[in-house]
Amino acid sequence: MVRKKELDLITFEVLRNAFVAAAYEASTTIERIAYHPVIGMGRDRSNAVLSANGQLVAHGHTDAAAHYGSFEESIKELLKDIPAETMKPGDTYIFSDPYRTGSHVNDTRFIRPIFYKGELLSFSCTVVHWPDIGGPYPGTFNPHADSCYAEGLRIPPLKIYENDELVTPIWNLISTNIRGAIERRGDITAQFEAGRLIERRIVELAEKYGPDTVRAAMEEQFDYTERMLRKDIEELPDGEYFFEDFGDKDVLSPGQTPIRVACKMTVKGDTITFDWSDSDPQPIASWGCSKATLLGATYLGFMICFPHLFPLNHGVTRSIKVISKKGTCVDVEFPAGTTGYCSGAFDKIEAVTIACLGKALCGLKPWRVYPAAVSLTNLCLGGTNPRTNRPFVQYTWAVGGENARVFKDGKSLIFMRFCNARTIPQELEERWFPVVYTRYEARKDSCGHGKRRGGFALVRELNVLADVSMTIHGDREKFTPFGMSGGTNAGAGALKINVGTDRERDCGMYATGVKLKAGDQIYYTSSGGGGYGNPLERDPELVLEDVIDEWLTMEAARKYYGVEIKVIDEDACLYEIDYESTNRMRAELSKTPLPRGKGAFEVNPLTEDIKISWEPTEEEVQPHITVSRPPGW
Amino acid sequence: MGKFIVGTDIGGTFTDVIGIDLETGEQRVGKVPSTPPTFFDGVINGLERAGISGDECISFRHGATVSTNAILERKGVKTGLITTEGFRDVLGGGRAERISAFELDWDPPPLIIPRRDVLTVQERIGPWGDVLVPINEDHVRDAARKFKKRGIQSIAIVYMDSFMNPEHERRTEEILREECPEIDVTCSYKVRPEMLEFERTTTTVLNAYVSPILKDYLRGLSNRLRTDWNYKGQLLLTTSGGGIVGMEEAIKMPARTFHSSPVSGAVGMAGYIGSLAGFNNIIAFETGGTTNNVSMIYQGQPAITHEWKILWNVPCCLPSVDTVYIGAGGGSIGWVDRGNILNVGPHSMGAVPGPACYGMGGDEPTNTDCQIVLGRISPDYFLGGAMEVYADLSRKALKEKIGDKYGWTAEEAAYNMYKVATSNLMMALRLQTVARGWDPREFAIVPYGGGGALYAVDLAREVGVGTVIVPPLPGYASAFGATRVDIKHEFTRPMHKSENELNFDKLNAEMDDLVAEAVATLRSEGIADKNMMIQRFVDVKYFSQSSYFTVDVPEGEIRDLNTISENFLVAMKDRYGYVLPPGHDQLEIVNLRVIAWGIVNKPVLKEFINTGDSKKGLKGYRKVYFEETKGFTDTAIYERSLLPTGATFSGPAIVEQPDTTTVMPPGCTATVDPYGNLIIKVHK
Repeated sequence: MVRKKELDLITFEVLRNAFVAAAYEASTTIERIAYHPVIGMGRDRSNAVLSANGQLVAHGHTDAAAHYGSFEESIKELLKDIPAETMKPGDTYIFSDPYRTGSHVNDTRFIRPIFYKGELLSFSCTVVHWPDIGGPYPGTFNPHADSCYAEGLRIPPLKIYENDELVTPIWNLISTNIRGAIERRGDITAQFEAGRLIERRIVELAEKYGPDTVRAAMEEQFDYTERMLRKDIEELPDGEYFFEDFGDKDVLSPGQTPIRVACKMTVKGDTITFDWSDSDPQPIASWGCSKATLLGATYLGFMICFPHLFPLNHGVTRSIKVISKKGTCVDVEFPAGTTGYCSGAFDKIEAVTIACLGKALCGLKPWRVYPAAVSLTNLCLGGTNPRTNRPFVQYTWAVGGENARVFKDGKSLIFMRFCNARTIPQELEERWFPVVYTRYEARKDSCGHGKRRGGFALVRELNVLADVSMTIHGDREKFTPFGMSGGTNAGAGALKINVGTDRERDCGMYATGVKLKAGDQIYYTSSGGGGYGNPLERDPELVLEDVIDEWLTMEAARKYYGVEIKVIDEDACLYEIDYESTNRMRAELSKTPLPRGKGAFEVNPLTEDIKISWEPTEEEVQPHITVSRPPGW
Repeated sequence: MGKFIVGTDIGGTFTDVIGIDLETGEQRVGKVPSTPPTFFDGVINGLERAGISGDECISFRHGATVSTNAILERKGVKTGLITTEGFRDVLGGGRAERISAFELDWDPPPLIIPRRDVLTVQERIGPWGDVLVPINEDHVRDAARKFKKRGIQSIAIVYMDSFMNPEHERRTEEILREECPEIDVTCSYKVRPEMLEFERTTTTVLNAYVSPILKDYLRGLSNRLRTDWNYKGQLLLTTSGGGIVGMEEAIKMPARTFHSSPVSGAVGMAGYIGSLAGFNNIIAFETGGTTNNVSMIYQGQPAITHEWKILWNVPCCLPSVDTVYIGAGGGSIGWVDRGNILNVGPHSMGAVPGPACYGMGGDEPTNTDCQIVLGRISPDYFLGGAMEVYADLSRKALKEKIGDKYGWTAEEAAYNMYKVATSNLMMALRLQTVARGWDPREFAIVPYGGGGALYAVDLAREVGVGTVIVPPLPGYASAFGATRVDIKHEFTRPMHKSENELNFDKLNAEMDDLVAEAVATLRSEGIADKNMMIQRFVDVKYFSQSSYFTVDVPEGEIRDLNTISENFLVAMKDRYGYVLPPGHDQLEIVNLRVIAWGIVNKPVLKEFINTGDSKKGLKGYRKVYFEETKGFTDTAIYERSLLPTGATFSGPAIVEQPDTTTVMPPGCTATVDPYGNLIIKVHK
């Protein structure tokens, strides 16, 4: 065994980058090969390299962070059922059991043991969100599931490839129980090939540098990351920091009660603990998440505040303590539903983690203070495709507003913070699925207002051309992405059908199995991003620009920013600020602060003690932007 | 009287001119400073420097770098977009991705068209080409009025699904011609008649953004060539697709000229030089001042992409040679992070203040500083001696910013930093080769640009490439390449029919139309029928697949999908490494494509024997650091121009010429071939 101290700096540098490159390359393989648009075009997939004992070494930089936390847990659980010594080269295991692997049943994992000269050297783990894995509703999401049995097929660790050949009986069992099995046959090949690719890369490294050096580099990856992390934590003021956020409702509870996610973060010296024990009990409906997901969401929040630690690896996971209580919404127990975790618990845990860290960072690195951002709205449509007479499942999403930064406005129409996916082109979907889109446009005034405003939400409208069943799992209708330090919470998401007709119906963000007829129209919209700072302190020129670009209406400019804008010539885009009225309005508005609360455009009182020590300019932040991806890309 | 084919290329610093006599093979070159903003002054200067007159020139080829630069420097014209009501944010929203996994402080580059200048028109063509909502012509007139008042100089028209039925875009263009004839108009159905709304929109917008600039530029250049240079022939422009088109065709669609400069270097130079040395598979590796470009040539054909990213989230989606920007440039900074690890980039010192050795106030160690401290670049021969640099400043920066953190000397710091930089380059290079199923052992690297040959041999060894071929004039690669490419036009038509929806009569009729259009275009460029080559393709996939393969179509009428299906399975196996066999799903024909080639005369490099004593090339010795010797080694320094044909020598060696430096580590062996190429066999 090469001892770590003998590993030279450059070899380590080469290997550490090679691990990320292998995972990234595997992800691009899936992008090229996968069949369903959500996997290929949409990138709802992730790849990881792990050590022989299941410690996370690296993942791809365009992957879904919601998957990252579950890599280590998945290998740990796999090894409980299938001892490493029984594994052989050419084996690939499928595993998808939310209580053990985290996330939800749709996220199937393909795990491949990687051998070098007969010895287990590493594991690859490839997570792909299958657009459907059975259950009562197309897309498998079921906001009204009272147990896992009302969702999809849970899959214990099973050998799906042996000697690199598909184990047909296992696949037959699975494909019989899911929608869209023809395209899934293409997708699993992509998923399998991704693991084989990681294997080839790791074996090449072992050939070139020796297996012991590869092992030593994995160890050093952990130590190196931990060294940096400890320094970062040590700088934070010691103390306890609290924050909480809410899910709109447990749809199956008698009073449709909100669900509280609460964290106490403790910093002491170079240690940090996130204690989630005070969170609400697990809801009856599908909203909460298992422990593995809680870990992943906490890690993600942490990595967003310390992005230079990229990639997430065992050096981070072993250094952060995460405490929870079994049976709470962030650590659900069998048989609670979990498909809704991604728009439910996950997004709240991530935002609360970032807010707790924001409280510690605001006096230190103010640019790492972030309000909450758009949450996932996953719309599933299913039925029979008239082009093929086969069942289809369309799984799509609405991107939205990112949080404001203390030095700059938030980005609009961008992905949720937990994935680095891409939108699926509408013209592609129109040819795959019986739908026609009629809108892809930002929603005016949907940002969280503030001295720095959040990003804007997206509106999508589409007509269905066949009878379909529609399900959405969203949230953030009532408790919207929170603003900070006087900035308002963002605008809410919504799902409606046949707007403007006598058949108009507000379906809400928990619509389950809604039957639509050919010709029905769907309107759905995401949430914006939370604002930062008092909107009355916003530069009126910036408000003017937003009005000219029609992100903001004149009414919102007056109501939230106290800015009066005069139209000189609309055709020529000539507008100007009426400073006299603006000064008067601002003086008036400052006497009656915005309403405090957790709903849209209210100011979240819990964030008022987050006060940055200085306001950096964009130029001052620039040197701190570490592009968390491997060098050379 | 000579019969010269002339290639010209404008770079950020220099304008290159090369003329090659079609009969004698005589070469004349000129390198002169570029002359922004009237770049064609530089072209005329370069032609004078090379000593070629217009009446000696039978074909003039030009890389219109001006169009790419207009985009990169945001110096296009004020542009507006007209799009379908409801879809105002397709352009601004892009594909909604981030550049990195966790970083929220990063922002994409600002939009080329601000939201205020995206105007919408009530209309909708359905996915199958039927009119779902008729066009509201008043909306178009409103938009024309607004754009006029706002001083918009160019308008892009992009409607949803318009490629299935361009009627609304056509009508919109007509109305704009009536309402504002002075404003330039680009329609999406002409630029990219294909599915994917964002990609079609951004490509059309980029075209509109540079169209007036390119028009003015080309008309200005062609006038100057006629009046000041006495050239009567056609002005031909290199394209991103690896061909040339006539000026009027380029003006019709400027987007075709983007990034044509590295492409003609790859296709016309690297591919050709490689073939002379017996290599069909080439990695064309260009290193300029700030970037590295890599293109792959496989079995003599360049790899093609349909999505080339000019900037983050600003793809230009025309079929083009896949030229990938990788890694870092000479200005990338080396730094030590808090975990005590040495990193290179992504931050760069740029050209100002530049590397520490420039002495312009930069005190961070850069890649160029490493090359100087390691003895690879001679400080006395920087840009052929044209620029003074200070090795002591390089040493100081390396020692203070890196060396002191580890207890290293400046030289050790330089070497370790060089290793990190090449490892980054190597991984990016692998991603373009191995990751795409190509085995680097079957390839040779042809380095060009100012810095390619500094890294090429070390990179070749790292990725397993056995041969490096350094062309005689790596600094003139794009201009030279332009002299050797053919006229090329591409035509596309959407189909989107699965097996059971397909009407073969319609398919054949559409294909015939495309071929007729192709032939007409070539004739209009003066290509005789016997010099035409028409290639027919279809884009095909299984219905349930998201991405398609472009495959050959058999000669004659298409009456079944048998051959297409076979070609599809071969392509799938090639690219994916596996096949889901026929019967797995229905086939779908996505697009029809025609590529029209006009084959033109190309200059051929002739063998020549440069006699003399190999010793004459040896200028002297200096100490250079190599990994193989773990230290500084006495290294022979050769002058490229003095090396005779057949000269053979081994590393450690440095070969210097004004436009580049070639580094040969110990163990590799170089031979000068009859064309003047340096063929380096790379040691394992």
